[in-house]
Amino acid sequence: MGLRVYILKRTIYLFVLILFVLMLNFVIFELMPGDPRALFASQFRFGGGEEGKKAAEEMERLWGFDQPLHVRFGIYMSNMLTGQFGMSYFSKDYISNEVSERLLNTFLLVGVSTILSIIIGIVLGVIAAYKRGSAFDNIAVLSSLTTYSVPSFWMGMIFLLIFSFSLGWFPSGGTSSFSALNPPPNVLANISDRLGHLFLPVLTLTLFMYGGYLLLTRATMLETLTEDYIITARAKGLKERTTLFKHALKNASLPLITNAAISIGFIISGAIITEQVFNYPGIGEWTWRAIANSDYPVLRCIFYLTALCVVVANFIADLLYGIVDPRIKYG
Amino acid sequence: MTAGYKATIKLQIKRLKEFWNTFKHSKRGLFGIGILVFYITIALAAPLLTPNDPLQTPSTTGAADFAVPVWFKSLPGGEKLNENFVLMDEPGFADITSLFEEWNFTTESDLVTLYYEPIKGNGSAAIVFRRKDPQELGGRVTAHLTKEFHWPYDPPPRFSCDITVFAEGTEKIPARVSFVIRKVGEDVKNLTYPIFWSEKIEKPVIWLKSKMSANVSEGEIKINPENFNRLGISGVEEIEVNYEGEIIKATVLSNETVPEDEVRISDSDLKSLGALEGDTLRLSTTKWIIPSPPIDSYDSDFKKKFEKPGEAVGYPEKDVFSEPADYVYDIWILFEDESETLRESMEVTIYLDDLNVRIYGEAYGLLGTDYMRRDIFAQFLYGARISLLVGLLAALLSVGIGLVVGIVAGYVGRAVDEVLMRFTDMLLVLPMLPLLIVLIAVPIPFLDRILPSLTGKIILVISILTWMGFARQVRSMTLSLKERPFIEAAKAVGASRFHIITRHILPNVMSLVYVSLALSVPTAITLEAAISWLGLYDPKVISWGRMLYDAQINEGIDRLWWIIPPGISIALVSVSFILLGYALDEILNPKLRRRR
Repeated sequence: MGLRVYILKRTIYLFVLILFVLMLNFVIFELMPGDPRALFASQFRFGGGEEGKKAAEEMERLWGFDQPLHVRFGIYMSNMLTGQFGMSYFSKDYISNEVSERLLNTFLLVGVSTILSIIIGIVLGVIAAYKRGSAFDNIAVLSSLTTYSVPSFWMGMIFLLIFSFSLGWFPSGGTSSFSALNPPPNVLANISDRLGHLFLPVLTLTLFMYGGYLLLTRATMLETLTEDYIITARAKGLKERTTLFKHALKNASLPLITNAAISIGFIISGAIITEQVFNYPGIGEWTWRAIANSDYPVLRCIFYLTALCVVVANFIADLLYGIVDPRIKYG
Repeated sequence: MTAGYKATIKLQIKRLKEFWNTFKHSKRGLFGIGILVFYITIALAAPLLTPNDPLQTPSTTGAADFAVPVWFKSLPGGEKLNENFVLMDEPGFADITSLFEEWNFTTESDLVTLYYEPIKGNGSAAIVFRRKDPQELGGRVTAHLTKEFHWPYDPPPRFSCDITVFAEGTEKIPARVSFVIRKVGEDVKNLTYPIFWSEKIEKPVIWLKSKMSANVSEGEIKINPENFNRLGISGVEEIEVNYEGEIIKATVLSNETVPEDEVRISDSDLKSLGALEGDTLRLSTTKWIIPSPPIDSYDSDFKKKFEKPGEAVGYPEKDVFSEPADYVYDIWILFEDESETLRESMEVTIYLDDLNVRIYGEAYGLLGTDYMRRDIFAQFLYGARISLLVGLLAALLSVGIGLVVGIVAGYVGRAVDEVLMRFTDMLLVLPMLPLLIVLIAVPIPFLDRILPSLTGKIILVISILTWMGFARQVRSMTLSLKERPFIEAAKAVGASRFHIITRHILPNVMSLVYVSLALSVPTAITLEAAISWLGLYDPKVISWGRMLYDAQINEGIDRLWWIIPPGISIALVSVSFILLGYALDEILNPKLRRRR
């Protein structure tokens, strides 16, 4: 089977998965207790006011509460595919207005943390594998197991306590101390303020994630380091650093790439806890608020987006796998 | 048959021994086992290690809210922290010695005596005033019942006093019961703060006309609500109705629509008393009198008494226990035998019971108390139970599901395999944490009916969402096993599919099962902690995650002794399961071993 067929197969599979996600998303929220219209009414408390009436009509048009199941499913599918997520029960605003800002916040937080943890994990993992059995190796393995096992919310609480409440170095939550009423004096102040808000969540998330990369790098590197071509490289008299990072890591990086691609897929959903600790207005904090308020339209939107993210990331991981490793048998 | 059975057991024991001999050399594995044994021990022995309930606010003993751990006393500056103090370990007078040996009785008059009353209130102190001559007034006579105690600390965060009083004969000679806590040697008249409670008991105070009617089955007597307060009764209570010496019981009905409360006495009762319409009845309560508002320095009404000009709130603790000193719990009774109108009576008895003083400590237990005065150390011990229970059961269930799906998919193959594996892949795609939170937060009527508690639901939902990775692992293992010669041999001799799966495949994947079990527990434990920390805990049990939620919500985040133990424990238990899993993996799967 050639690469082209492999990609075609994966692409078909991608669409099947998206369809599955859409259906599951529909079914889960159909099964949720409570009549959506009653919930909607109670949330909006519309008692004949012009605004309430408009909102109700809009919801009716968007979701078709009165229609039979299959028609509702059709409406739902077209809404999801065209990105019309309806209105939030809680904020009483269009979801699409809020989602982009929150997505940006989350991408910033999780993106920075993921990149940092990949770099730290790979560098430390390579060194640990190279110095296998040494004190450095033991400490690296144990510390990555520990930071991986420490509940991230607890780590966040401790960081808040130390760096925010006791030392006062960093703010305790949010993304910015400035607002429309209190604009930043200059661009530099704005950037440094935002970075300050980002620091503790990024620290928490990075510590939580780097351990996985470290262990994986170490395991694959250990295997690679016994290969003949490493001995050859050393025999040639190459610098140890060149041998490690150019010869060994390059060949050990395959599982790392796929793993990173998959974990990027969980970028949105992975930060619920961290965002909650730091009161960071991203998708995770939004999810929790939506759950607490039975804000089903928002939840539906978040589920759809997160699952879509994972599916696409998996697809990319599969493609990378096929392209990067020429030894692979496509199938 | 038995011989074969015995041989099997012997073989198993031998295998276990061999396994242990190998395991002994794994330092990480031993470290994990050590920590696990510690936590399993404290989880199992929780009731032995602490007498306190982790979730009940102690009603009688226990420290103030937000008490610090008791070992703070040995830190510099901690000597002044006070601990719990209870005047009477067993309140009430269970026997005669507890009254006469522990309490002091003083009176300036020989008309008053103290004796022990064994029946009333299951043992109480009875103070009797008796005229020498029935015709001679006794005047105003005071008697004190006191008990001294030493208070070596600064003002406590909270204190409370208990007293219950029962009076007999006060309808003839009224008596005023008062009490206070004062320093030794101070006169109650010169106190800088008000007396805690002072009540003149003169019952019955209400004289009522009976009203009988033919068409109403019950006669009714209206009492002004103020009179109720004077009688010390409230709500639906029994009172005694006395008509010329004959006594019946009647029920007081609180009636919200009528401004006056009613006493209902059936007509037949009234007739049996011989009372006629318009006759005067005397009412008296049969209840022990308890101070209202309660004598508790946390009670807002009690606090109000201690308000000083210029201060927003009163501080009874600072006023009463102003410095380390010897204090006295002082109860005194003033008999007022001055009335000329009632000459026929001779004696009055005041029964006192449940006398006690509680001072709530600033320091309590190994880890202090939380916002509801509950013992944090007890919460920590019992929390280990829930974390381990959820971790182990969820891991068992999830590995079980994964095992079944993996073996079936791998062994049966073809369409079944395709369907099961695609389904597994799809579940892997779902955002796990949001889904987990939704499934637990939202009531699912079908699940909630079968599962006894939210903890059960948490276990089930966690295991349903975490089995996929293991199922894939088992499937690939089964696929390779299927092609091995011994399976072919089994097929050739006509073994059934079930037999092959249970006797040949299953034993060969067990090594994977043990490892996966150990590695699934940390996932379940941290997930449970995260869910509880978000506030979705089972209200009936305490878990480490819930402790952290409580601390966060109630501004306990800077109380390190509250948040460090549960957080560290979650991490330690998780790490030790991971280390155990790695050690098992190295021993059980030497061929699959990746050097770790």
